[in-house]
Amino acid sequence: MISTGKLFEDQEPFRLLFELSNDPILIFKDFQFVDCNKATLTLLGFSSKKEFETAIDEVLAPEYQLDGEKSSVKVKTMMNKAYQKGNHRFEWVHLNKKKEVIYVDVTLTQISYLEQNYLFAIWRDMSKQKKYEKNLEESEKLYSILFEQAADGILVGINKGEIIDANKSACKLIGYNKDELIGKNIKHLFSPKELAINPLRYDLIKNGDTIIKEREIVCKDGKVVPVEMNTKILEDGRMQTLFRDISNRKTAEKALIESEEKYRNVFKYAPLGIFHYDQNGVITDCNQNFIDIIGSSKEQLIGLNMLKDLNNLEITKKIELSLKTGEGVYENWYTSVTGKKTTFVKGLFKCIFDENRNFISGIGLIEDITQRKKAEIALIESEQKYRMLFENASDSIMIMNEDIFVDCNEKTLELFGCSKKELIGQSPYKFSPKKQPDGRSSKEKAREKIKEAIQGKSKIFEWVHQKADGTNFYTEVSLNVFDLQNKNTVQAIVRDISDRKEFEQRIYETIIETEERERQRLASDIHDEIGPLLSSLKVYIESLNPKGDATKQQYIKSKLQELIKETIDNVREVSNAISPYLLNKYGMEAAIESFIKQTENILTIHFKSNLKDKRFPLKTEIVFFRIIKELINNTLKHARAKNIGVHLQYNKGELLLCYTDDGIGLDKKYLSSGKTEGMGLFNIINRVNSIQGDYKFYEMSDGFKFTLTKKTPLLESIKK
Amino acid sequence: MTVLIVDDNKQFLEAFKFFLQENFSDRIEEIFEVSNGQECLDILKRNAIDIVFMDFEMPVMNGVEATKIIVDLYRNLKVVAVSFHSELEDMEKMLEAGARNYIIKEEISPEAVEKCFTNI
Repeated sequence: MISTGKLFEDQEPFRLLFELSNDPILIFKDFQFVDCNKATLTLLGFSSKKEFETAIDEVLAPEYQLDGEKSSVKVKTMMNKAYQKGNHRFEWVHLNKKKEVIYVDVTLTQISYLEQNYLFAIWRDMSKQKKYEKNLEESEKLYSILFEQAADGILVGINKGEIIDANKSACKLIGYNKDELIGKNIKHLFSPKELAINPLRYDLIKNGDTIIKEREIVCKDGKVVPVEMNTKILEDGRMQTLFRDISNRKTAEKALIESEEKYRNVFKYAPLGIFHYDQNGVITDCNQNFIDIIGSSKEQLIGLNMLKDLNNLEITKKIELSLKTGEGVYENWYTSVTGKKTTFVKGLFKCIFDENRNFISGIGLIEDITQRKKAEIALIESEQKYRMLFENASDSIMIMNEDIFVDCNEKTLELFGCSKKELIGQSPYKFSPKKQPDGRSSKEKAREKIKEAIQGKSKIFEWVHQKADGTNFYTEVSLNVFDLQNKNTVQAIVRDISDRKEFEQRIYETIIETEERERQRLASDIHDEIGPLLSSLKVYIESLNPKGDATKQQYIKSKLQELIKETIDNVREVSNAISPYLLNKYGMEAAIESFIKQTENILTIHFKSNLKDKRFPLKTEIVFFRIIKELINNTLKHARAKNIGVHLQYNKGELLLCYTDDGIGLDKKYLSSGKTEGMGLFNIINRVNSIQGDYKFYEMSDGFKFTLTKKTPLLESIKK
Repeated sequence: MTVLIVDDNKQFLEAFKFFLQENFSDRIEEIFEVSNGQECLDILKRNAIDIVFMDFEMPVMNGVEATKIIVDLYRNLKVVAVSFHSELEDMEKMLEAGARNYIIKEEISPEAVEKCFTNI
C-alpha cells in the first residue's frame, strides 16, 4: 500500500484539494487500491479508511454490474481502457456499508508519477440521478401503458401536424393502423369543409393554449365520426391531441334537443294552457294558450303568486294541495285576476319531487271548457224544459222499452189513478180491460200496435184503458218510436177522449133519434093527413050510385074533387118535407123565402142574400137549408125572440151564413147537457160536419148568433 | 037508432056521416058527431045514443080512455072501434077497453058496417 502522503507531500495544496473535495476520489496503483478521500468514506458510509479497506472488494465490486457483466471482469476492462486511453469514464455500481446500491459516474485518469503508473478515480454520486432516471423510466413505462391503454384516442404530432405516434384507441377509432398513421398529417383526417369551418390553430397551440374543439373526423372507411379534440403542446415541443368519440353524446344531445323541441312545441302549440310554477306557487313561465284562456298578458302572469294573489280560494287550495301531495284538480268557473275574463276551466296542477321529496318543478295544465260547459248547461236546461213539458203536459206521456213502462208523467198517474211505483215495470195491457171493444184481446192487440209502430206503421189509434179502480175509459193513443241507446224506445201519448167519445155518442144517438123522429113525423103526416083523406074518398066512393039522386051524386062528385085536391096538397107537403121541392128546383134563396113566408104571422125574419139564383152542390144546399130551418125552429120553440136575421153571402168561393135572433140567448150548457132540447144543435153540428164546414156559436147575453162558412164551387145558375 | 061518430078528422066525419045516411037511413034516426073523447062524454050526458063509432087516436081524450068510461056508464051503449089497418094492434086495446066490434077505415063498405050493426 503506498501512502498518498508521500505522493503529494511536496504538493500540499493538492493534498488539501484531495482531502476536501466534495467528490469522492480514489487512487489506484496498477489495479490495487492506494488511497481515498473523506468524501469517499462519507458516500459509502464508512467511518474510517481501515473499516473501508476491510470491505473494499465487496464495496468496490459487487458481483454484477447493471449490464449483467461480472464486476471482477469488468473492472479490469475499465482500468485497462484508462491505462490505454489515458482516461475513461463509465458508470459503476458500488455497495455502501449497508449493502445499498450506489450509482456512481467514474472517471479514471492515468497519472504517471515517479515512473509509477497510478489511476486516479473521481466518483460522482449518481444515485439521485439514477433514481430519477429510474423514476423517469418507470414513468415512461406507465405513460406508455396509459398512452396505449387510454380509452381516448391520442395522437402525438410535431411541426405542423405530422403524426409521430398514435395509441390503440386512436387507431381503432380512425380505422388506420399505427404505421399508416405515423407520418400522416393530422389535417388529412378532416374533410376540407370541416377544416374551413374549424381550422387547426397551431398558432394558439404554440402559444401554450389548450384547444378543446368538437370536430368531425373522417375515418379510413369514409365514415364521419364526431369527436371532441383536446390539443396542447408538450414541454418538448410535441403536440398531443386527445380525442373522444362523442357520437353517443351527440345522439343523446340531439335526442335531448329533439325532446326539448318536442316539449317546446307541446308547450307552444298544445291546445292546453300550460304554465310552470315554483314551490311558492309563483308562475315562472306560461304558453300563449294559457294567456289566451285567462285573457291576460305574459307580463302580468309571470311572477304572479297563486297562493296570495288569486281571489279564488278554491284554486289557491288546489295549488297548495299540489305542492303538498303532488296533485290538485280544479273544475269550475274562473274569473282571471289580471284579465277579468271568466271561463269555465279544467285545471290539473302537478308537482314533481326528487327521491328526497325536494321540489323540482310545478306544472299546470289548463283547459278551457266554457263552450262544452255552455253546451252542457244548454243540454241540462233543454232537458229541464223537456222534463217540464213532459211533467206538465195535459196528455199522459209514457215511455216504454218495447212493452214495459220505464217512465211516465204526472198526468198519467192522475189519469190511471195509480202511483208511479205501480206503473213502472208493467205493460200497457195491464192497464186495459181484457178485451177491446172489437172483441180482441188487449194484450195481443197492444203488442201488435207496438210492433206496428216500431215498423213505422199506424201510430194513432183509439184504445180502451182501465184505471186502477177498474173503471174503463176511452183514449186516443199516439205511439212514437225512437232509438235510445240502441233500444227501441216507445213514447205513448195517451189522451183521455171520454168526453169526445160521449159527445160523439150523443151526436150518434141524436142522428138516430132525429131520423126516427123524422120518420115518425112523415109516417104520422101520411097517416094523419093523407090516410083520413083517402079513407074519406073511399067512403064517398062507396056511396056513389049511378042510379041514385042526381043532386046527391053531384054532391059526392064535388066532395071527391075537394078531397083529391087536398090529398094532392098534402102529398106535396109531405114530399117537400122529405126533399124540398123549391130548393131542388130554384135554389136556396127561393126555398128559404118560401119557408120564411110560413112564419110571417109569428115573428119577423130579416132575410138578406146575394145568392139570387146561384146554385151549389146539392149536399151543401140541403145542409144550409136544413140548418136555417132548424135554427128558425129552435128560435120559435125556445128563444122567445121577436126578430130573426138570416144573411147568406157568397164571396170568393166561400158560402157564408150568419144567423141572429134577439131572444134569450144560448145556454152554454146547451151543448154539453145532452138533453133533448139540445138535439137541434147536435143536428146542426152533425150536418156541418157532414160537409166539413166551419161553424161557430157565439156566446151572447142578449140574443143568439151562429155563423157557418163553407168553401164551395159555384154551379151554373139556373134561371127561374 | 041513434048513432055517434067520434073522430078528429073533419073530412072523415063528414064522409062517414054521409055514408051512413045514404046506406042506413032506414034504421038510423039521428047521427051525432064529435071530434074527441071528452066531447063524446059530454054529448052522451045529454043524448041517448045506441051506437058509437070511436076513432082510436084523438087529441084531448083518445078512444081507449073514452071507451073505458062510457062502457061503464052506459051498459047498453055499443062501441065500434074505427081505425086504419096500420092500427090493428091498437084495436086490441080498444076491445079490451070495452069496444064490441071494429071496422077498418080503408075497408068501409055497406057490408062491413052492416056486420057491425048485426053483431051487436
